[in-house]
Amino acid sequence: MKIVRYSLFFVAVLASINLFGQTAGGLRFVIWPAAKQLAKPILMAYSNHQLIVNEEDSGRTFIYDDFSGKQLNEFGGLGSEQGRTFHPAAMVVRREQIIFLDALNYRLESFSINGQFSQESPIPGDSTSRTFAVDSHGNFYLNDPSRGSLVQVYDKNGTAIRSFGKLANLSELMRNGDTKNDGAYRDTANQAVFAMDDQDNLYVGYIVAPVIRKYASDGSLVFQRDLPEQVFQTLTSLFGSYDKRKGGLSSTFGGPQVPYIIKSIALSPLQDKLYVLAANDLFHKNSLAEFRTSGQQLDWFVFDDGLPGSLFNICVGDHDLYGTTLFSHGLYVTPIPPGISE
Amino acid sequence: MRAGEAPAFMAASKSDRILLMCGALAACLGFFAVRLTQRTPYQGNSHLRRGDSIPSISGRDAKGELVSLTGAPFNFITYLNIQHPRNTQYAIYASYLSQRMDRSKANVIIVTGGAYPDLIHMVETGEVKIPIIDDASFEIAKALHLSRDLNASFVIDKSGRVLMGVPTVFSPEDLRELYQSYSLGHVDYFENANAMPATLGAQLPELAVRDLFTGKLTSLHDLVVSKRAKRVWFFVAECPVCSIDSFLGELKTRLATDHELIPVFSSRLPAPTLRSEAEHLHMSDNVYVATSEISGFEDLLFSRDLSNSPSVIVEVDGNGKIIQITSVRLF
Repeated sequence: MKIVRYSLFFVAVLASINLFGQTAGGLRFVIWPAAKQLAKPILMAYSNHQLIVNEEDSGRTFIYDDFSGKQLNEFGGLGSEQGRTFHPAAMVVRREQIIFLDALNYRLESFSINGQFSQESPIPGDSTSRTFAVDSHGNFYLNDPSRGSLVQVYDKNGTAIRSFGKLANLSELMRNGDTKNDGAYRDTANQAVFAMDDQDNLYVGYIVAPVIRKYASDGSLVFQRDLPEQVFQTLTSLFGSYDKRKGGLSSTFGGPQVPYIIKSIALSPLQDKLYVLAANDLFHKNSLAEFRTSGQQLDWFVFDDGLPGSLFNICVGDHDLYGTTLFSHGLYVTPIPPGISE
Repeated sequence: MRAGEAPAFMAASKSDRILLMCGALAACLGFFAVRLTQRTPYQGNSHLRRGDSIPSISGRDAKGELVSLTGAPFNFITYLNIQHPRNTQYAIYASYLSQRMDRSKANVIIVTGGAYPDLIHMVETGEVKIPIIDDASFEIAKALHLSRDLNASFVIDKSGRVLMGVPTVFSPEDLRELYQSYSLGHVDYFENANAMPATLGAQLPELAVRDLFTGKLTSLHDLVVSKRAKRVWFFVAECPVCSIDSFLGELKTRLATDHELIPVFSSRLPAPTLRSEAEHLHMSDNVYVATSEISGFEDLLFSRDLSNSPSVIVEVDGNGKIIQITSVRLF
């Protein structure tokens, strides 16, 4: 298997030569053979050498052994009954539970790692959060900026227990001093993607700005970081010049249509590093930034994903980075090259 | 009124004046109440969810027939409050699927919160064969507890029990899978992308296509052979009607120089919309619309990309064998 892994790595490096200029090495996703039949997988997570992937069209979730690629389990489907989901907005794995933000069914739904339904928790009917996190007490965290804070925390019964995170102005995030849109973009600017570590620290990536934050378990801000400067400038310019008539990965988030700047964030299995997948253009050119979870910036890549759909979501395995695209078949993988770490 | 006379109102007794004022006030209140109701006919503030129930309710469809929302063991109801081309496309697909459903088990019904002329026209032309109910009185919206600013979809059983209620329009694939899941107890998944008909080396599938302008029906294979075509351009995007203008413009340009190209539109595309746009662009070339859905062509390989309205060009040899598939982006 090691031979296969190393071969995959060298193929990826060879394929990526001349595609980049910003940093040494390369990053080239190729289809993960074990899951090539998946129709439109978007959500995925990695836990204990297992890859958990949800298929958008069918609502089914597949569990694979990362090492052998063997499919270990399959469960779920479209619907509202317990054990089914309807186009869930997000998925996390925490404490041997696979949990879905099944927002269109107004709930969180949890399954054992074997795919057995275990519980559901109601979410507010007016929540528009597209991300969530679950802490070690079973409380869940949503991102509804319209409630006046970045993060709202609910217990497993769906009762609001606290909120935290000062809302940011668009001009602050973009560092451009242009405050005229701050009011109109208040909720949009604070749309986020979450990741949480075992100590209940919450990592936040701003969807429309190249900025990340880390909050401690008590809700205090630990740090705020911009993506590397070269990427930052490209992305703020991308946001500023966005023209919806030209297409590209974008959304309204209930307000003005805006491009996706940060698409996904993911912790390494050891939870010592945070990977941030961002745009570089609105189609197939991406940025990947690597930070220590302490906040230190490590490395960054700009790469063309070369995939049929825009790379949208990532998760990090022991050796590989997995990716899914929006609305195309298959799951993609690239080795994490040595260049991106120390 | 003559000069020097007091107005009739002033000439009346005090009690009559009070009565008149009360009457005028009541009339004003009534007028404004009616105006207010007309402006905000029904707002709604909650959503039905799994386990809730609705009373037995029915509405008249575009043909004037009474349609029960709980008439079948499983009723797939989509309530449209927001007009969008994607909803028209949904109606086309829902109609297509309903023709293949076991009607003793399931009904597909569309309810609109107000007039939806496109859909009515498609019913009149026979393009849509499912009931379209104009819920002008919002009685159905009230029964469904539906917010006025949302579309919603429901699966409701014969007793009125809500099996599913979501604040969105089902996608065609949702409808297909949910119908199978509820009504048949199993879902046919497309397990393997490689098993799709549109793969290299395979023959073009037996797809019937209709000429958009003449209505003539033919098989795609025969068309390719008879026209000695080398390319079939499938327009199979997630929402074809959203980008029809840009596609037709590009198609017109290409057809002017490429006479070995056959354009085929998804069967999920409303033909009247397509014809109208093509005529607007003065297109005279043969344009074809698939008459049936073939798994693999509606969802062809990697064709669906949210970001850039793709289409697929399939190159074929003289016998209709697929030799190359290329995704084509249009902006």
